[in-house]
Amino acid sequence: MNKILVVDDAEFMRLRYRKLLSAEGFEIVEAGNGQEAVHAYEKERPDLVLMDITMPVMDGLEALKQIRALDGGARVVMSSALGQQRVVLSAIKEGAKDFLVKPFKPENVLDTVRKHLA
Amino acid sequence: MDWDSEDIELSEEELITLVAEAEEELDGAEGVLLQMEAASDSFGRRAGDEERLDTLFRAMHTLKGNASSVGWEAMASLAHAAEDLMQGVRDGTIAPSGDVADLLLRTVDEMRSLTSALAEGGEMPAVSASLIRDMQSISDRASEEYAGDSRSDSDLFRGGGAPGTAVEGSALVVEIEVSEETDIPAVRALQAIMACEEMGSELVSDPSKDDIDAGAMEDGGRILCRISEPWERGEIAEALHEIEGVIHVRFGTSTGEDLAGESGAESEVDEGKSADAGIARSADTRQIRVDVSLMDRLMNQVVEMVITRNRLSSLIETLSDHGMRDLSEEMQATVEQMAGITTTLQEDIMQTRLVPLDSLFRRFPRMMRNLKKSSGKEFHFQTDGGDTEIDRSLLDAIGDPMIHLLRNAVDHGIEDPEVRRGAGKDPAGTIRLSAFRQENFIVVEVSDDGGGLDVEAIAARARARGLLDSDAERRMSEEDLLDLLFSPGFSTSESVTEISGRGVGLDVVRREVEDVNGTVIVENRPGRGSTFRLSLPLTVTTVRSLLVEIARQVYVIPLGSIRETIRLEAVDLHRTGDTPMLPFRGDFIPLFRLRDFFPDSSGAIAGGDEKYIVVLSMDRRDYGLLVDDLLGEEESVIKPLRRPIGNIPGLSSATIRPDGSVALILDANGLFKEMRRTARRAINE
Amino acid sequence: MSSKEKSESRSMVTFLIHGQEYGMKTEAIRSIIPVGDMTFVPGAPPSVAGVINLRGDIIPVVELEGTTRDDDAPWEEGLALVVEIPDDAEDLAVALMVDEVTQVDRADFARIEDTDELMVARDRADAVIGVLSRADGPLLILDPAGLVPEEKEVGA
Repeated sequence: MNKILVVDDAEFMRLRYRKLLSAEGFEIVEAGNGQEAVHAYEKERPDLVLMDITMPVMDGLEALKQIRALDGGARVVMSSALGQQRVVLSAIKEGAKDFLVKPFKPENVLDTVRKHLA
Repeated sequence: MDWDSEDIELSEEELITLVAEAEEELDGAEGVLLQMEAASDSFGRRAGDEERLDTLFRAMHTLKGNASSVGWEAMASLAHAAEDLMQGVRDGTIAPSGDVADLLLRTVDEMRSLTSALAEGGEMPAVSASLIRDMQSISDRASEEYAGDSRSDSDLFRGGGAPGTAVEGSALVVEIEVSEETDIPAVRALQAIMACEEMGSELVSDPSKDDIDAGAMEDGGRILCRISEPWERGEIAEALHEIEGVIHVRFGTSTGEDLAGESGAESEVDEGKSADAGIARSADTRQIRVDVSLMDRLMNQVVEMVITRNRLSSLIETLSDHGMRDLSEEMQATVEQMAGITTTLQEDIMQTRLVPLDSLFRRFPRMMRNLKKSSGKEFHFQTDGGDTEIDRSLLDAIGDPMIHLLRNAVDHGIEDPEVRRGAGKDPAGTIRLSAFRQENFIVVEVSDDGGGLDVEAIAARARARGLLDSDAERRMSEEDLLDLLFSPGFSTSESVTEISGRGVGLDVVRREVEDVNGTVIVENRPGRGSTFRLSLPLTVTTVRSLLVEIARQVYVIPLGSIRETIRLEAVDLHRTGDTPMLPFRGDFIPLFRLRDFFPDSSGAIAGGDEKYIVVLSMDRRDYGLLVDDLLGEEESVIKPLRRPIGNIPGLSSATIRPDGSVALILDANGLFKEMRRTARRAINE
Repeated sequence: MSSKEKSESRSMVTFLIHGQEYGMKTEAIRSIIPVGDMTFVPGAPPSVAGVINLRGDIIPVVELEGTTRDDDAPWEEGLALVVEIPDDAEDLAVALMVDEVTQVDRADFARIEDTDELMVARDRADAVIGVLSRADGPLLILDPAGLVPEEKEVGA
């Protein structure tokens, strides 16, 4: 079973992800900010990370860098809002595999997740 | 816009979390804003203010994200405007003045009332448009003043060779088109360039990664990448098609000049070499872009012209009836000429609305590959007839139904490899998506060579759902039983995950297809698979049709569903039960009156003098409809029947006759289905 | 009682349907048209008498619920108010059959009361949203949106 780390400071978004993805048989680990995400990554070694960009304590871009430093093969998909083009460009250059734009369509999330777990 | 809390579908748990989080964020935001208002002179420079501004920004960001993810537009639009404003304050382009604080506090108040309306399930209060406008105008002013100041100068790519630099050895030019409709096209473009980078040794691209940083490709468009060896076209095409938003990939070879200069996007790519997998047709004929809404308006005007033309024709007939033969004949000839022109014009405009089904089919190979991986099934996916053209609006309408049918084929059609081996079949199945034109319809089929449908199991499920009792079941043919698959309530939430992990059943597929006047049926081959067949009309605005009279009213029957017309006195009818049967092409087919289909209105559509039979062809079988008179053919313009009439099975729409009256358009399939439904209900009662 | 102190004067069209006088705000009414031949729509809800062509649009002709005529009675020439129905998705309008348009008047909408009389009136038609008491009998106020019930599943 594939393990996915979901990182978002909004509890509601995590809830939506969890519902959607666990229904598809994925194991879900959650983190509420970038720092928690880095710790969780180290401990859980998930197969995929879905990570928000705007978060307190440590933002998604910084967490991406740290996770990639821990594990060069880490697969991270950024989630962003429209208008965050610049940050998303940076994230892709920093090695993020893909991105999703809010608001999400469940099928886009699933397609993207499956694509990168294949 | 009027908006009701009930428009949002949320579970109790989701609702509670959404509301609680909104209240929490609003409390936090309000605290910061009150400080901002009180200390506007020094706010932003005091210790801890940076964190406070971050908190405020994130609160708006979170509210926006949560709201937009559930379609809570009122909240999302307010939060969006507030977030932009906060972004400016955080960046230092907007001063955290008392006015700004006041504006944001009023926004928070609005958001509170939206939140409590959501919590209580009441009607959403209207959002103050002026509030959003005021916030936007502050943001806009600030960003104008700041324009030009935010150029990025990161230089990750220059080492790859500047545009125009010749690359030694053999090089491949890849032309990639990124859709403007995808999310953040620029990032997709960057991903495409990076994918090319991984495939070849040296790479030059136009636009370059720096150009993209500086704002190129924001609305999608074409990228030319030149890659030196080693490269493998198939792999490159595949990798590029993996990227969302990449709609075209073409190959050519390069002489080193292709990418020079600023007009790189117009470079010629060697046509002769463009033959690999996943390569779409080129779009290099002389074309202009036209707004779809303009096309719709043009179409509507032509349609009005057709109506006017029909009216003119009928006026001339009247003229002729009044003895002005010479004049009317000449006029008639002129109108015929005009008719020819309007018909051509109409066809040409219709032509511009046609798009090849490929633009839809192209989405599926990747989806099917992913499904193959996640399902553990083995199958080949084939598409056929992607060059069949279809009206643009239909293309949009059938996207979701196709996805559903394809997923169903994987999940339920194709058996597990061991099962297939056990049945003596190739362990890898075949799922086939094909399209073709059949007379006045476009047919799109999804077929699989799996185990087929289990009619027994379908009947059992229908019984369990209360859709069927054993008495009714005995009277139903296998086709009728298969048709139960499309009944609302057949696939319930319980079966959703088991079926395809999606909350849409076949009833939704049928409804969506019928909404565009199409039909969907299933064909079963026990042990050998099944085929779902969608028949869609060629056009959405007019239909060639036969006019008939029934009980002193004119009805319109699309020619596509008519087999034949027969004089009643020329046939011998037989009777089985209450239904008269008509001998037709070596078979007997049932004969109906319009009022048989509408028992509740039968009084108002009785009393005609029946002289003809119109034989209508259904998906699988024919039936006859008794009519009083045949009034000739015409090109009928389809107009919707709106609420409170809405969707009456069998009466899909209406048209306006040359004399200005309204005639209803009969839908042969819908009529027959409604009949069966009524019969089933009667049996159950 | 206190509502009488606030005055909210708006223009209103009043009309007779089967002897009862009704009123509707003028903004909702696009035009007043004579209705002659209409096309009967089998299977339509009972309140729909038929459809007509109004400048290229097909408009349902409706009768106020609870006042529907006898099924077998022939349709006669009559008057109809073309009423715009508020709707997000599409331009909706219906032609409401009336017997006679009595006047276009200003009425004090704040005086509309929610009385027992309203309860009685509501039994007759969902569209009635209020009652205006007058010397010459109650005036029932109609809400345009109430003329077009939300989509119901046909045949279910």
